[in-house]
Order: sequence, then C-alpha cells, then structure tokens
Amino acid sequence: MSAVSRSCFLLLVMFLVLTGVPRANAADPAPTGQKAEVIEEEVLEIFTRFTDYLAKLKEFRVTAEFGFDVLQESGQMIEFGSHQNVTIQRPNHFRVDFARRDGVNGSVVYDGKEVVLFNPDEAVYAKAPFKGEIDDALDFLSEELHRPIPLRDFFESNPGDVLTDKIESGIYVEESTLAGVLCDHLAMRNDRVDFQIWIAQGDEPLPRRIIITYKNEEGQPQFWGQFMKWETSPKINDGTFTYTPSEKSERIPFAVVDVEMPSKGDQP
Amino acid sequence: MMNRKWQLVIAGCACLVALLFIVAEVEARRGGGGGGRGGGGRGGGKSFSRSGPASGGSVRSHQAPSGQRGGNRSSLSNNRASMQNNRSDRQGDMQNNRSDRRGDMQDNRSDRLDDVQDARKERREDWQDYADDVRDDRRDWYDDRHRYRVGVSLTYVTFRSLSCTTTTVHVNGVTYYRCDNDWYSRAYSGGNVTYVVVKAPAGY
Repeated sequence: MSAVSRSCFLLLVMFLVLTGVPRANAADPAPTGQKAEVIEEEVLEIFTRFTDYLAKLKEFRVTAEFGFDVLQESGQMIEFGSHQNVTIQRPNHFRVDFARRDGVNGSVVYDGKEVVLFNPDEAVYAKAPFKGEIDDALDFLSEELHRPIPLRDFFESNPGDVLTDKIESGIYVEESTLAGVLCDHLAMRNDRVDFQIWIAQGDEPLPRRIIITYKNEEGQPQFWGQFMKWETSPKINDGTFTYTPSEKSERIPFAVVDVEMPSKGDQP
Repeated sequence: MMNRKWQLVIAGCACLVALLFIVAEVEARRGGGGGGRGGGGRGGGKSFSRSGPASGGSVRSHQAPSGQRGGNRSSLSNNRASMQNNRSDRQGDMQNNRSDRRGDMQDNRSDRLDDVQDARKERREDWQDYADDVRDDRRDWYDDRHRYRVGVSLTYVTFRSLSCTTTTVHVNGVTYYRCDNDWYSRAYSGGNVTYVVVKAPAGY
C-alpha cells in the first residue's frame, strides 16, 4: 500500500517537474533577477561622447554589413542581409548604395529636392519630389515609399535622441576588440528592444557593431550591423547625391497599395 | 489480495497517463508551435518572407505611428498626425477656455470674449496656412504621374517563372510585358523592382 502510494507520488512529482515548471519558466521572458534598471554613469558617458561626435560631423561615409532574422510562416527563422555604403551630407543630402546577398543591387539618393531610387542592373529608376532634411526624407522613404533605410538611427541629425529614447537600463559589458579595434561593449534596453553596441575607444568614438533584439516580437528576431569603415572626410562630388539616367534607363512608378487620394477641397 | 491487484492496476494506469503527457509535452516543445519544415512548403521552396520587424534595423518600433517621435518633423504623414494632434489640442484648449470662462463670468467678461475670439481667429488663420501648405505638398505628390495604385505585384523571380512566353512592347517610354492575356509593367514596391498587372497599353 505505502509502496504504491510512494510510486504514485513520485510519478506525480516527475510529471510536474517535466511539464508544469519548465512551461512556467518559458512563459516568463524576463526573469526579474536579471533585470537591471539602471543606466550606468560610464555607459551614459561613452554613449553621449559617441552620439555628440556623430551629430557634429557635417559629412561622413560609412560602409556596413548587416543581417536580420525573418520568422517564416513555417516557424523557421531565416537570416537575410546586405552590404551598404551610406554617404551623409548634412542637413539634406544622402546617398545609399546597397548590394543585397541575393544579388539585387541598387541605390537611393536625396539632394534636398527629390528622392530617387535606381537599379542599374535593370536600368530602372523612380523618383518622388520631397523637400526637407535628412530625418524627414528618411521618414518619407519609410512611411510613404515603404523603403526604410537600415541603420537609419545613425544617420539622423540627433542619433542620441533616437537611440536613447525611453531607455530603461544601460550596462557596461566589457572592453572588447573587434577587427583589431579596442571597443567598449555596452548593453541597453527599453521596453521594445535589447540593444548592444560596440564603440571604438580613442579619438573617433564611432560604433563598430550593433545588435538589436526585438524582444516583444514573435521569435525575438535580431538585426546585427558591422560597421567596417567610417570616413569623416569622404570624397564627394556633384554626382554623389544626384542620379543622371542613361539613355536606356526607364523611369518606373512607385507602386503603392492602399493609397488615400485626397480630393480637392478636402481638409488634410 | 484483490485490493492489492487493483492498486497495481491503478498505479499502472497513472504511470501510462503520465508518460503520455510527458511525450506529448516534449513533442510540442520540439515542434515550437510550427511546422518543422522550412520554406512554407510552397513549390520551388523559395517563397521566403524577406522582411519583418527586424529588417528595418532601427531601435524604434517598426509599427510606431508617425509623429510619435520628438522633434519637428515635416514629412507628409507626420504632418497629418501632428495636425490631428493639434486639432485635438485645440479642441481641448477651447473646452478649457469655455469652462474657465464660466467660472469667471462676472469679471471682464467682454475682454475675455474678445481674447478668445482673437485667439480663435489667429488659430484659424494659422491652421488655414498650415493646411494649405500641406495640401499643396500632398497634391504635388499625388498628382505625380509616376505614382499610381496597384492591385497585384509580382517579384522578379515570380514573374520570370510565369508559364508563358512574354512579349515586350514599348509605349510612351514604358515597357509593357504581355503574358497570355495579362499585361505587366515594372514598378518600385517596398524598394524592390516588381512586376505589376496593368491595363493593356494604347493600341493593344
């Protein structure tokens, strides 16, 4: 009698351990014990030094490699990525040249008057008039043309404002050497993302790597970016921010689904 | 004796049930809630989704409504959002003014009314100027002949895999591709060159 009771009890314990307890842990994404809700002074100092330095540059060029996770319908996570070369001339010029891993190449240029997307391989381009500063044009690309520029937070006029928006914690991880460059490895969090950044020590406090984890999204996908080269005095010429179509180039439209067309006299 | 047998039977059943639960649980966790096979099981196996929350590469939310950020943005969508905010702010202001006025009715009634009317007039003028500017910008953009609505768009890969021999014609500087009874032309969609279904070009 007692032997049977004991074995039943043991089975019950085994069942609870193997099913109930691990599930409870899985449902709790942020163990409270690990949550740091402090922004360390050192982190703030290093980060502000970097964002101030970047914000003061009148022009720069940065070459980066990046990759991002996309959760497929099947539940499988697949990474895609691109090589990107960005030239910024404040306040209202930029150029983005990209080469995706799947072989698609293209560019986006903005000269303060119009945004042009072009694809030399297919000899096509599309353009839209737009007046504003770089931040506005980046918004326009993302919201109206549905073509967000990856790593855009670093190209804005005040990267510090964007990157530290609603930041809840910031910790100094360690000194870390990336491609021979000694960096400070920082880890920050807000309510949407966990954000890691490696900022070079020395006179040019610019980032060398970032990882963004979208922790509230299904599968917690990540975006990583490796900044391979920063040029703070890039060569810029008349053609950098403009596009001159060749004879065989064809202008094509922006295909926009679900556009609200304001009729005359409408209040916007 | 009989009692003991029953106890053994019950213990055996409990054991079986527990094992079944455990096996089911392990399977469920291994499956991760989705199919184990990649590519969504579509023909060709290359129909991957290429964008998601992480593809934007920004710390801000990809679904953040426009105008949420600080600063004085002037993008079209943001203008619209901030105008809506202004409008509700103004409504709030006006309501506040109204209730303030009621409490203060005996003092300087006419002065206050004048102030409110002036403020309202000023606001109306500001609003009108602002709305005019934004409307002009929007109309310029929407009037652009190179922007239009589309219903169906195909990627380059999908288009090339259509089971037809495409005929290409050039009409008014636009390349049209015919596949059976459908006509396509190229357009940028989400930053990618895509093939969209269009009406037959003039003369075809």
